[in-house]
Amino acid sequence: MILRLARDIYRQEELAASGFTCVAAADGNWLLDIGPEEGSRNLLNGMLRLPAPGPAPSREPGVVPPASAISLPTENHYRYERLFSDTWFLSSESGRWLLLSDAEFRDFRAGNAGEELAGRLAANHILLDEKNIDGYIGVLANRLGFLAEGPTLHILVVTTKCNLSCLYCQAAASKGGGAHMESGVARAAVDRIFESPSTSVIIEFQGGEPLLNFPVIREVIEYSEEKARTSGFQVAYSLISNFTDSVTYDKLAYLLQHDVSITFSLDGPEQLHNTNRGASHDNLFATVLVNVELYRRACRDVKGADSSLHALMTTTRESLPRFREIIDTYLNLGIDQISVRPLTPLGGARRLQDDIGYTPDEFLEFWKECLGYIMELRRSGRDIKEFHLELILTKLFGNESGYMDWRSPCGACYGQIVYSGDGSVFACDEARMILSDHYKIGDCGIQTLPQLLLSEKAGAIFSSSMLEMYLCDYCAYKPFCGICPVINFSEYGSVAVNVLQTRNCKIRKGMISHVLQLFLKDSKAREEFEKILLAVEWQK
Amino acid sequence: MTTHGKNTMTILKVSLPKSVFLSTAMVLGAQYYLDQYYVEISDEGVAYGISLTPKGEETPIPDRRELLNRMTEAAFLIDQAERTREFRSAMLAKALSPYAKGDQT
Repeated sequence: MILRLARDIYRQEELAASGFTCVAAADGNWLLDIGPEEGSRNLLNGMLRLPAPGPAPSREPGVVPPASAISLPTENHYRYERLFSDTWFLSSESGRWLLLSDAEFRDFRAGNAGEELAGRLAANHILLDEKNIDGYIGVLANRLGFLAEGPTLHILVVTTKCNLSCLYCQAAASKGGGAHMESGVARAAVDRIFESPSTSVIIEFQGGEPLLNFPVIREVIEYSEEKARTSGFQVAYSLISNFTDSVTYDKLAYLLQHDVSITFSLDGPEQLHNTNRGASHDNLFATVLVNVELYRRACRDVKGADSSLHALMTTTRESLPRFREIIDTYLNLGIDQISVRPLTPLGGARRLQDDIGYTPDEFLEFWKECLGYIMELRRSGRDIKEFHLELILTKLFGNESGYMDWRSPCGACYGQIVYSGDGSVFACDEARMILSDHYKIGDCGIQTLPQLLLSEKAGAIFSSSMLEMYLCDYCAYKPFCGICPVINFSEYGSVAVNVLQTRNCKIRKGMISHVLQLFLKDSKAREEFEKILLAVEWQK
Repeated sequence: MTTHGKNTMTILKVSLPKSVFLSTAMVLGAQYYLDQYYVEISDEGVAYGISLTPKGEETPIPDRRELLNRMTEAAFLIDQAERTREFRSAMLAKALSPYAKGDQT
């Protein structure tokens, strides 16, 4: 089958890379023989996107375009989406948004907005004039303030050894393999951390199972505490554990004495949690319960009071019908916040996608059911929250831009960096998990932090996560969203993907529009949203 | 518009003038259809041709007027983004200027 495809839309190098032989016709088309394969036509669908992201912008920071570029009053750039048959959602770059009826939207686009409508549009930065322009710039500056901080989250992969072989492990850690971080590498990583432009940093211990290399955790804590005393840095610590065999009372007590926030894996009820832990283990759910009690005892001994528990839940196919049991398990353990997370398609989760994965629509349906049950529980007096709901609400109503996975540019390099056991420095947590040096930005024993962050590679990674580089630039939810170039690279073999066709895009758009629809149509949900917003910690 | 029952036949083809529809608008407007249809865009001299072929036999036949509406919306979005590009850049630079070169106040 011969197709004629416009040469200014389909790029020759990409057609060639996909195995197509194309001939340039005189009429501006490629002549392409795609054969009988329908897969070929899906490949062509995938090419309908903006050109690949280019190198990092070279503009000098702080160079402001001439005043002639700004003439007021003006219709600002805005994006829109139809929420219901008679309701439009409009957003501006500042993250302000409003809803318009069909008639109002028609009037506005025809240039016939009356005084009242114009006032609402101006209040939400869709129309700009001398009165609101400074406010608009101020909100933008506030939203982008994270760019000046440098990396605040420093992840130390203190070991890639693990005592378990969880099915979906994105770090691809397993029993038997892996290596510990050595003391010298750990100290070099701490030295780099104290070169950060931000004097308020978080050191997070990850693995494998980090508690298997406890001596290095102790060394990092004590060395960084010593450096903080003389440098004025504020350092907080966190640790992610599977909360099984490597937990002891002494380790927990030490971590609590040093204010280390501990998060552990908890996927739901016993059978589900144990299944996800992989083959031939004892009842690890029971071990987790024992360790939760041990943690509480250590808390009382060290802090003189109970301390809240943090857990991470990962959704597998088996989780989908069990949303009530999963949430009940959290409540029964006294955990009042759950993060209903989809699989991250890296490591085991990617390898076993056909067995434990699901479609974006299936995940969304699950998330909505979780939310429905959480709303039901809240109305009966249980104070339980879901992380993504709280995140979306704070983005829509509170200008949140701290959560690195849902912002543009994402957190890679300039929000977080990762130090692996051999001293390699990676752009982000996901970057070290793809088992490739594609997103490695250097070595903590060789380069300083400024050298790492100002490298050409870090700049390219930074620019590849800017939504302006993708069709996201036309999405009404752009001010509230972000992409992960590492996951795109891992899933599709290139950062030049059609983002609108990715799993993450479908899930996130679905989540945001569901929250907006509940907000508009469900007065009981709206009441709960207000309570959640009143209780939220704004600086996450 | 031609309609056929078989999923391998092009069932809808529309020409859109280049004077109104930039290539980016064609790409943006096509997005809505990528899940259900094979979409191909050809160059017809003064116009782009966009054709939709259903991926499955159960896929609904696309509506010509809806396709035109979606492409027109896309052209509007692209046009608006282009018109405001310089302004957006200016606003962004002003917003970032307090953070430049070590001034983090």
